[in-house]
Amino acid sequence: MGAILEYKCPCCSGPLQFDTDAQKMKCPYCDNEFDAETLKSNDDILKEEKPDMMDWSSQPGNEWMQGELDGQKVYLCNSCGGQIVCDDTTGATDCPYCGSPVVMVGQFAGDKRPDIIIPFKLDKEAAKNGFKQHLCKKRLLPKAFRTDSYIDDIKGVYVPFWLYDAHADAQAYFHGTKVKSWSDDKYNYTKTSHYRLYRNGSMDYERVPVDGSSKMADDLMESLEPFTADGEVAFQTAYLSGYMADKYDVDSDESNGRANERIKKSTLDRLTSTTTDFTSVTTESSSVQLDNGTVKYALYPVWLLTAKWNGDIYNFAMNGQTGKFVGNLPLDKGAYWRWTGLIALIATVAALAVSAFVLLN
Amino acid sequence: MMKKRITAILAAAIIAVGASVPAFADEDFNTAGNDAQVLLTAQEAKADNAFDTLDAISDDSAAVALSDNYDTAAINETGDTDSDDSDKAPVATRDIVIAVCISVVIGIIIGFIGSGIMKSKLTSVRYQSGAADYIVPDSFKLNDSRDVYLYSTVTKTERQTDKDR
Repeated sequence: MGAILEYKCPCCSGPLQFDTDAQKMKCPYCDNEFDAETLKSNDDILKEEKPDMMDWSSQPGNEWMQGELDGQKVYLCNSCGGQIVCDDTTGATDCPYCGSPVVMVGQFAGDKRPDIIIPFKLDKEAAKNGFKQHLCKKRLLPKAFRTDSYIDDIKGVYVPFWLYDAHADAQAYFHGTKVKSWSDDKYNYTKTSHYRLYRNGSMDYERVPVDGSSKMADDLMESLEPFTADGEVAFQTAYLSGYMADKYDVDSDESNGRANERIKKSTLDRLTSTTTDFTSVTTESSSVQLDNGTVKYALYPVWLLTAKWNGDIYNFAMNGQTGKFVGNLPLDKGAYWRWTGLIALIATVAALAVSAFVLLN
Repeated sequence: MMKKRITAILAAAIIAVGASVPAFADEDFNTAGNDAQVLLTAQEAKADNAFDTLDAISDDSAAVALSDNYDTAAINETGDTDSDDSDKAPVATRDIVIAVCISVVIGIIIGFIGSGIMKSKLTSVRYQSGAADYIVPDSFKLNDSRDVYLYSTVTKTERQTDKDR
């Protein structure tokens, strides 16, 4: 079994949790607050993971069968002794028996230690309000979804991301045209001039994020962007207390492709934006070279919500730093066709009125 | 109140179109004579009834709109107006059919565009297309820029004059 860490209140031994308002560790029992820096010394303990010395006697038949724990790990809660079974990537969670927040020490030790973390700025209430706001002004959302759906689960998760910094040099060849039109008494003329365009430029990128967790949907995580560098701090395990956390299970080598794809797209878009003098521009060829590329390991705050309605499950997510809320909603097909018909009717009547005006004048 | 207003405006527009269509749909427009007067009476009765109904549910602005449309319809029907209508050619049935068809097609397209926009608001999960949010501000430098002229093509089309039509 792996080792876990709980931050205990020095005053009452209650489990400390990170408070988003105070940006400090806070005891929910005696309300004492502790700066994360003061708890930094506890991290030294985490770096020296020691062998488990707890010899528990177990009855035959109560042991985990071979293969039963593949992909999972078992921890013992320091508060109540209960078993915590979770994925082998879980870095922080709550004890299912006593609710104490626990941090799995070994998950963020050594080379797996994140470089930076953005602590949660928004709490669970903000996530609930975000869900309500997300349902507003959606005319094609089934009305019953607003009233009958309910949030089945809500949890704050630190999601692992790879952050890419790089200097990009790019060259691109374009085919451009300029179109000029004029007329005389008999003819209309159109002159199309063709050009070959060459652009060579460079720019810097900072913190291009790529999701490092296979459990999180990549499109859902990218929808939450952007995360800003304002709230970034050096990683300390104290920030994880009270939240879920996963270590990465998609390494940076596997994530490079997605980062390159995004950087190349934006680099070429930037070069293309310098060709505005032309009527049309098409890319003939392009190349991008990255210099001084570095990759950082970061944990970003995400609120995950699960709502149930009509037997279906809907997943939502909120950026724990900026409050951006995303999640696909169901479509009321009846309302869709009603609105299509109504808009079509109004537009048809308006078009008929214009037609009548034109024909009569 | 808003629904009533929309209903009133729609009713006004539909009645206006409905009242004016028989006027220029009649192939014997120039020889309608007394028949047109009879038709006008029927249209007047329809419009009056609609006006009464509309007046009950709508506000003054909608009523004014209906009244204006009603007057237009009446003028078109009788041809009895001070404006110089004698210079205008009668509107062919073919033009009307084309106009109605185009209007319906435009309406359907706009209907699907409008509902498509509303539908798109239900979907907020999508991949990012690039990394523009992460370009360091003012870091872009255009090191080289060349525009090489290759060739030109000129096309000419004969202008359509009124005589050609």
